This record gives sequence, C-alpha cells and structure tokens, in this order.
Amino acid sequence: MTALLSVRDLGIRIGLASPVDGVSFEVAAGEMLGLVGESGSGKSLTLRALLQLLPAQAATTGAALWQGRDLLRMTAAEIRRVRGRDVAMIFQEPMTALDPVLPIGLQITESLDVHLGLRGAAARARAVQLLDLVGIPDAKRRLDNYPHEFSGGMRQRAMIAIALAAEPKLLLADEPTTALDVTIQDQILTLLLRLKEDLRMSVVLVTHDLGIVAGTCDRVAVMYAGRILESGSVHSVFRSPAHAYTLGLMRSVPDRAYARRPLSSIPGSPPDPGDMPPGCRFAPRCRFATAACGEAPPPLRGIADDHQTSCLQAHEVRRAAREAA
Amino acid sequence: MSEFLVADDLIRGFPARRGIGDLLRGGPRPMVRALNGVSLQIARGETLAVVGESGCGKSTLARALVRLIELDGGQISFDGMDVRSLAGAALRRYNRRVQMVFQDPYGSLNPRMTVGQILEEALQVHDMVPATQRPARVIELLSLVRLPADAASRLPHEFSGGQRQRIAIARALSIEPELLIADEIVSALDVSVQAQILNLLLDLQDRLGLAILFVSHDLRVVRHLAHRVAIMYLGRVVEVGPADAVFDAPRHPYTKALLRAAPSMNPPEPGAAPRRRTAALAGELPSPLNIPAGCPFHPRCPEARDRCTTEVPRIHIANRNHLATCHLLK
Repeated sequence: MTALLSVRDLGIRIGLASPVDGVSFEVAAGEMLGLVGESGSGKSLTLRALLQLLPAQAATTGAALWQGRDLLRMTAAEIRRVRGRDVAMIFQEPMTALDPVLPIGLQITESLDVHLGLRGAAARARAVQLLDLVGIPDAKRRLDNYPHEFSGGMRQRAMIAIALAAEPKLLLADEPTTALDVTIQDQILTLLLRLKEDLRMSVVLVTHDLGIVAGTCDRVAVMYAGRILESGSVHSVFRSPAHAYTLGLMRSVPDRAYARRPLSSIPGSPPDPGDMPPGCRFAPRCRFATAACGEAPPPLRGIADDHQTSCLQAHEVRRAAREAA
Repeated sequence: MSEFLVADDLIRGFPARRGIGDLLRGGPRPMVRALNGVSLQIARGETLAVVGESGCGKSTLARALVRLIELDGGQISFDGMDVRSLAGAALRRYNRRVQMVFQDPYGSLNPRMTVGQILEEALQVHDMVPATQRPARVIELLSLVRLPADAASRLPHEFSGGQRQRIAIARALSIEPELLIADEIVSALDVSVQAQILNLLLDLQDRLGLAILFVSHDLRVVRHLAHRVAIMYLGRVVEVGPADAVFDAPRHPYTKALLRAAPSMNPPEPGAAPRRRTAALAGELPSPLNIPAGCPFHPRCPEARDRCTTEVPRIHIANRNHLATCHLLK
C-alpha cells in the first residue's frame, strides 16, 4: 500500500520551545491511524500543522507530502484548496467550530458551494443526504436548526457532515469524542468506522484514550514530549509494547483483573517544552533507563513487521510486558 | 452492614429558564428534575461509586449530600443524625466529618493563597490543632498526599493539574473526615497522573478507614476503585450492587449498554471479523426537562415492551445486595 500522506521529520517551533520535533509517520489509503499521547505531547499541534492551522508565531520544519506536494510549504491559496476538499478536519468542541448564528444547513451548503460549486436545490438535497449519512434523524427539518438547538453528539455529527461535504480522502479528527458521554462517544466512533469503510477514507484520530485506539484504529503512533516514541500496527503495539512509555501508559489504565490493587503509574511529570532532556525525552521518568538513554535522542527503528520503537531498552520492556501478562 | 450514611428517596428539581414563547403562553415553569427518588447507603470504610452520563443527577446528589444544595424531599441520615435538619455548629461538625473534593482543581483552590495558608485555614476553621502546631501538621498532610514539604510556600498556579488535585485532597483530609465525596476528581487528568491519584485514594482508604462516595462517568476507574456501584439514569438509580456483580452480571439494559460502550484495551485479532458496526446504544439522552413516562430508559432500550412506556418499574432484587429497576427482571 502506498502512503496517502507522508510526514517527514516534522518540527514545530514556537519562540524558544520546540513542542514537536522530528515527527515522521505515514497514512495509507483507507486506514485509521491513532495519534495517542497525554496533554502537551504535541499530538494536536502535529495535526494542525498539516493544514497550516498553527498560530502565526509558530514555524514548521520538515515536510508533509500529499500527492507529491508539501502541505507545509503551500501558499495560502493552495492550502485553501486542499483544506476541506482533500483533507478535512473535525475538532473536540463542535460548538467552537460551528458558526453559532448560521443554520446547520447553510454551513453545509456553503462548503458544497466552495468546494464543489453545488448551489440551490441540488446543494440542499445533498446536505439532507449528508445529515442522513451521519445519522441525524429527520434531516430535512434539521437543516434549518441552529447549532445551539443540537445536543453535543448531534453537533459532532453535523460537523462530520460538513467535513464530508467534499468527500475528502483524509479526515483529521482531533479528540472528536472527548467532550461526549460514553454511549454517544461509542456512536460517533462507530460512525467514523462505518464512514471510513463505506467512503474508503483515511482517518488520523488524535486521542488521549488508548482504549479508543484499540477499538477503532488500524495503526498507532505514541507521542510523548513532541516525539513519536513507538508506532506500528495496533495489534502488535498493544500485544507487545516495545517502549517503556507505552508500557507505563498501558499499565496506568485500570484493568479489571487488578481491581483495588495499586496501578503502576508513571512517576513525575513530562518535561518543559523549553527545556527538553538531551537524550530520550522519557528517560528522566523511566524505570528502565540506562546511561545511554540520556546521551542522544534514539531514533525509531524497526523491531518487527510494522512495529517501530525508539526505546533502547525495548528488549527489557517487552520481557516485563510478557511477565506481567 | 452497619449503615453509615443512608439517603432515602431524595428529590430535587431546578426551575429552568423560560423562553419568551413560554412566558407569553404562561403555564407552569419547566423543571429540570435532577433527582427523582434516589436511595442509597454507604457503609464505613467502603467505596460506593455513582456512575452515569450527563444529566443523570450524580453531581446534584454529591452536592446534596454535603448540603451545598438543599433537597425538595427525602431523608439523609448520617451516623444516626438527620442531616437535613442540621444547622449552625451541628452542620459545621457534619461538614467536618463529610468532605467534598471537586472535579476542577483549578477552580477550587484560592489562587492568592499559598498551599500552606490553604491547609492552615482549613485546620483553623475546624479548630483541629493548636495554632503553634499547624505548620507541622501542614507538612504531615503534604507528605500524606506525597507532595514535598516546600510545596507549602508556593501558590496553586505553580503546580500541575494532578498536584493541585492532591492539594485539594490534602485540604479535605486535613480535618480528618470519615466520608469523602469525590465528584469526578480524576476526570480532567491524564491517565498516568490519574493512576497516581487512584493509588493515593486506595492507600488513604486503607490507612485511614475512609468511606468514599466516588462520582464518575469512567467505568474503568470505577471498576478499579469501588466496592459497590450505583448506576444512575435521569435522576434515578437503575442498578446498584457489589462491583463484581454489576460488572460481571449486569441486570439492567442500560448498565449492559454502558459496559459495551466503554472502550476496551484489547484490539481485535488481525484478520478477524470487521469491527462492530452498530453502537452499543442508539438515541440521545432525553432532556431532564422532559423525562419519559414509565421507565425513563424505555425510548433507548433495545428490549422495551408496552408496559415499560407506562409503568415505572419497581425495584427487583437480583441477588441479596444486587438491585435493579427493570420490568424485564422477573
């Protein structure tokens, strides 16, 4: 499978801080990639950088190749033609992304007009189809509703409908279910999975929840302090984590088999983006760390079919993971 | 089981704002019915988790138990006292024994006071230790929640979210409560920090024999912490029982759906059948302004029958301590 999107050595600098550094990943056609990490790991910044949605004072290095062209270096006019058409994005809080004073229908037909030149009755009919597609009941009547008349789950559905208007090949989803209740979250994730399959769309899903990745994604990249520490197929990474951070993250999630026993939390807190450790960025908190881990940032290396890690102690980590299982 | 705190048939509604149309039409003010007859008990030293989605009334329940919200009806008894009639010094004594910690560690600490001042204030208000011993007690409290002693001289904004939540817990514990009411206290935290707080709660309960009412929407966290679990839906408890029983053999269709909807850490085998394409539960949460008649869950219930639309289900006893309210349980 050839890559639809290929991100190479992406770096983001904001003032003296580099919250994202040396991030590389690929997204294949029709796959869902999970970008998982805790607050401040740089996962949302990475996603925003792809569509040039970073604040003006941020500077990017590296490349994000989309059909042979670098998204990061496109002019404003060029990136505008990609945004919403080939690559669409949905956000955590739909209320801030939707225009509160325009009816939902108008916000969809606007997108249809800009990207596909579709207007009038044809656009309206297509908008009804789109609302139907994302599971909004009574779509025809709902077109004239304003965002505040929708529940949180329905707003997220409406935002997905707008994103799908121009039939994008890639959907960037930034914590799309974090603000939702668990049964509604489940509905939205089920919807994304269905759309991905039916429309053969690729999805990059940014989340802090490993469970969501396990349940929906094909591949995963684990981010920490602005770097990808481990990536690979969801199956391989979850069955046999090969980075001390991934293992720590997985062990922090309560597991029913160990109810009321201490969780192995990760001690300490992530580094300050203005003052990153020189070697592996996780080394200061890592119980597997050796002197070598503190020297130079270890690069990602392949350890199995579709499984890469930057952990110098991957062997020890995998042994610890096996022993605990 | 010696009942420590008993809540019986708690009822609370909040008048909703009326739109101009409603005003002109007149008629009664719409009510958000947050608690519709909630009953539960907590024993000494146990953790009871209250689980539910937005609008189920779990936070109203937590606030009502510490008298931050007054009830419209029902009884609360704590260690034999009638909590709703407490006033003045007696209420203050009650609030010393029953302490609350909130979800937002940023909003519940005074930004202009040092951590030492915040903790000393609590000690002073409840007259816990003589003034001269307060600084030493502050250091003890900080070490109890695993913060360094020099934290006392710093301001809340100098700490991370997880550390602030520890400060809030230290303040609640400073006055040696017997029951801690924790409202979504780990929801805003990253998973590695969340694990630190959960470990702390388990450890404190062990050492101090605290009872904990743990309000949460996160089933994984609840499964880890709780001895017993109460599942709430639209202002009612729909199922309550020992954690093992509720998680391993749920009786109410809503509990079953919640458990199915919660993300699991196990990805499917490669090459296995495609992932599930139907959601665990269809439909939206109804507005608490307009609670469905009969069983409030019936519009979303995959197993609903005619009877469910008209008749409020009574409590069905599945097993000694395991109760559910559903017509299908016979």
